Amino acid sequence: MKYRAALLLILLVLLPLLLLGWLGFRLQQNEQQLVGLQLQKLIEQQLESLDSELQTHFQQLERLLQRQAGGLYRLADPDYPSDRLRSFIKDSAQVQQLFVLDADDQRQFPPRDQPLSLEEQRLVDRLQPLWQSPGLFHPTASDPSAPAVQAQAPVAAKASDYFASGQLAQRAPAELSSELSADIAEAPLASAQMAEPAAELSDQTQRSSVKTEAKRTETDTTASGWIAWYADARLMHIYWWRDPEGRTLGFVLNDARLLSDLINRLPDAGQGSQALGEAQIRLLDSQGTALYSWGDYQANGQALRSLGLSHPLGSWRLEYHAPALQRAAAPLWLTLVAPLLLLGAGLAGLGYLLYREHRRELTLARQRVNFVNQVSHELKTPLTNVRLYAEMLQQRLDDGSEETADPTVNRYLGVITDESQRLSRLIENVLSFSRLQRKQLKLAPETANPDEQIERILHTFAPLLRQRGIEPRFAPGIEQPLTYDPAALEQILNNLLSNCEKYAPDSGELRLRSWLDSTALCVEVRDSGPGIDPADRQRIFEPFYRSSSRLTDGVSGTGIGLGLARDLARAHGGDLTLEASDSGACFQIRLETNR
Amino acid sequence: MNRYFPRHRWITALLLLLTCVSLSARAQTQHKQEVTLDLSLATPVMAAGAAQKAYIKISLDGFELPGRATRTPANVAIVLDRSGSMGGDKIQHAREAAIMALGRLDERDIVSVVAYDSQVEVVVPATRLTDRQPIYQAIRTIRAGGNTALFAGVSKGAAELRKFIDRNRVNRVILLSDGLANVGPQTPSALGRLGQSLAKEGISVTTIGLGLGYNEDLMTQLAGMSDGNHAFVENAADLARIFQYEFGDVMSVVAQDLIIEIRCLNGVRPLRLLGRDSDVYGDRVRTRLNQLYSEQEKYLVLEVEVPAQEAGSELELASVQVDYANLATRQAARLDGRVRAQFSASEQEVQQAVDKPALESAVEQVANELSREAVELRDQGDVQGARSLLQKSAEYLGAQAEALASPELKAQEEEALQDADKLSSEDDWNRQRKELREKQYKRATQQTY
Repeated sequence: MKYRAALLLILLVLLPLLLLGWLGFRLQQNEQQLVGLQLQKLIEQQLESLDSELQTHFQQLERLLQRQAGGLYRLADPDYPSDRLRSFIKDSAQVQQLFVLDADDQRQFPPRDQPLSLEEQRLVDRLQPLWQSPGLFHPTASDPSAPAVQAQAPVAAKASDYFASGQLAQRAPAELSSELSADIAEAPLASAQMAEPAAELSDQTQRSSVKTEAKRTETDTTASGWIAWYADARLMHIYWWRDPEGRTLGFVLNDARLLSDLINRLPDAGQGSQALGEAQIRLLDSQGTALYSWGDYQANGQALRSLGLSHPLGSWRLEYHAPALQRAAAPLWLTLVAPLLLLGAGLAGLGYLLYREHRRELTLARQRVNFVNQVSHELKTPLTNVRLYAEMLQQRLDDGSEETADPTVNRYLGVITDESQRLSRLIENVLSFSRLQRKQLKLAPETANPDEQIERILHTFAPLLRQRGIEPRFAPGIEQPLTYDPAALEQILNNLLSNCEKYAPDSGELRLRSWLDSTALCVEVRDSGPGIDPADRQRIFEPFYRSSSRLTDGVSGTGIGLGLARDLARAHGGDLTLEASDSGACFQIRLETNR
Repeated sequence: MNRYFPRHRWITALLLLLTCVSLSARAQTQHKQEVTLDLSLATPVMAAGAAQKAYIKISLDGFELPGRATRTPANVAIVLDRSGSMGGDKIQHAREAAIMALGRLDERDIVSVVAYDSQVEVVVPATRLTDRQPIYQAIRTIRAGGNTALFAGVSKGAAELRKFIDRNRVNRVILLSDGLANVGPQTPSALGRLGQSLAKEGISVTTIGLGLGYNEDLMTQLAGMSDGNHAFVENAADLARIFQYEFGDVMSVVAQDLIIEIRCLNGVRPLRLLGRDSDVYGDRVRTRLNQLYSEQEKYLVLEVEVPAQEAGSELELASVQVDYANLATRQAARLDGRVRAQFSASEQEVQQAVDKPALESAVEQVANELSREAVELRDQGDVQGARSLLQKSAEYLGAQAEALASPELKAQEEEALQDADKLSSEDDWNRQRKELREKQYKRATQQTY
């Protein structure tokens, strides 16, 4: 009871705080998710634009090589002159080697009938499996997805469209795939030995991931595409071009130069830190080693986003590294926590003020109760004297001669006695109430016969009741002495009877009944008055509650009687209950005697 | 002093006159600003009746530049390593060396500066050297820290060069590194292929290895494939000197894009081109030099196998053709020549006819090849084999030195003997290897410094 107000106030402060905090947290989380998603999208767009930037390189390279291939074709008469091809290789910065296959995919260059340079011999060794895989340079003829390619051909006439429309036919011919899976176990081994002499080159170390894209230009006879070919743990990029006579020119790119050019298309550290801030983008090759990176963020760890590059860089990928999003949102936490703290402080202040007000009111009320208590105490002594002397006077009058007896004096005296009794009951009620409130009420059990006590009480009330048109009848049912607190029983009965007198005048019969229910002393008080409104059944026991109805209008009362009576009964281990009845009010007192 | 002044002035005048005369005389003797091709056979008279090896020396001489004013403008990218290992003294010396070297250039030249650690930063984008201070300022901001993205560094350097690339300029990347490349491609062959590609565009990469941490194979491959210089600098304080040499070289280029094609005739079979990368297609050998420096001889030694001939006969061994871009005249030019040999049964006649300088060069290069092979053997762990190879090389050098009475070969013999000793030292091998590689590289390419 003492801490309830404080507890309530704390709850009042904490609940909205928690609620707001939770809502805020959820809101922030949602926002973070949204921001995260947007960021992811942004990152993805960024990576995609980089991918397309790298694709641009291939497009430009493709255009250049196509032109050069056209130039070489014009020199062919009817065969490609080896000298010109060799000097082309000597002069081209991008192209490492060149090969020419005739219409039946037989090697024309490097020449079969002339001595080869060391590098040419190495190329032949490396690319032999590629040349022997049929259909690699004729994707439209052997590829099952050929119709799709042809269908899209008019749309993809231009190089840019061709790249924009994505991967038209990216698949390895079946025999190559199986070769790939068969050799996959040896892949780590092969990649470990990076620079092995050409002599060690064997078919085993060669594995391939060949993706072919075919483009059919206006004339049916020319086609071109990119091939990514793994040999010796090295990725070779080959651009092939079919000349109008069905021969295939293959440009083997200088891999280091290709990477160098690609790197040059990407931002340097200065631009990187400007564009990315606290993030980093890395270009990784098929083995996952970083080839190039830019941006300030250095730490290693899981990439926020990874994007595989488009063909012919299919096995490479771009990774976006940045601190985790939670850390980026740290200031958001501040924006959530700070208002919550402020709100909490405000609410707590308000709560504290309310609490202080409440405490003040409580002390005031206690002071008032104390005052009433004290006044009651002060009233009690003179009242006792009044009663004592009134009774003594009565006795004196009774003892005196009958003739001198004036019936009016007797009547007056009776009134004085009755009223003083009523007053002392009232005061007793107030005192008991305040004792109960302070939990100072102590029962004083003694052995007595309750029936007799009830009889006595009824006797004192009988004149008053009869005056109000009520006829009390008592049916005793105990007939034996019990150990209980007679004062408590008396006070309860006093309250019930005076209520009956007040609220049920002229109701006729008032029946009392007592019995023993195992160890409990039970008394039933049933009047024939108007009864109690069912709505009020619970509340009548509340202190200071007075049922407002016609019944109570014009009747004075303190409103503590019933509540006090019930508290007393409960303190005695029993209860006071309002029993259901058809007419009138029926109260049942139950006091535990076995205590 | 006043008393002597008139005479002094008179002497000056006379000197001036003399200089003019001598200059005009030189101009007359050299009357054309042209690279001279000199073909010689180490043994112009060969023993008859047996197949034998012969060495053809193809020597190219850069003409003298008329003066500083007419030098070829340069397009230089300085690529500096600023990885963590460059911290402290090294980076400071590197910065100062770069700034000092740039001091030699003028507003005709274009420079760019790239610094790399784990990432690459273009510190100074390609710019004409008109306002120096901002460039120096930018160089001074370079601080060390991070990994070594050597490949990307060279790439970006080359990209800066390409902005103003011009066959009439000396296009050069000057790479300084003190560590192993550990971001991006890092094998000597990958860097070599990059160098090869850059060379085709007329870009040379000079590699300067600082300290004992770099990969000398990678650096020599990159320099070799692009026909740049290579230097091993153990002490950062020497960087300034090396940069000066390098810029001196850059500023004295007189010819570029020298494509040398040798065609062996009459059944002569080319075996190898000593010390240089080449393509051999049957009887034809092709190679290229990116540039030729003023008043400097670069030569190639081709080892060929000559079939047996009759005594008294004469045979054309090879024809040589050199195409190049003359930077003085800004025109493409072509030189050609033929190599002939006579055959004699007389041993004495053969000995007498020996072309001393050509044979000296050939011996030098053969020994150099042996030295290279020795390092490779040592790498495989065969210290004894490497040692005996070098001793064999020293023996060969000694014998030839005596026969030719050549002090240079004698010195090389001693060097080889020293190298043989150095080979066995286990703890100092890292440095020795770098020194050896540098020496071999310089010998093979006739580097000026």
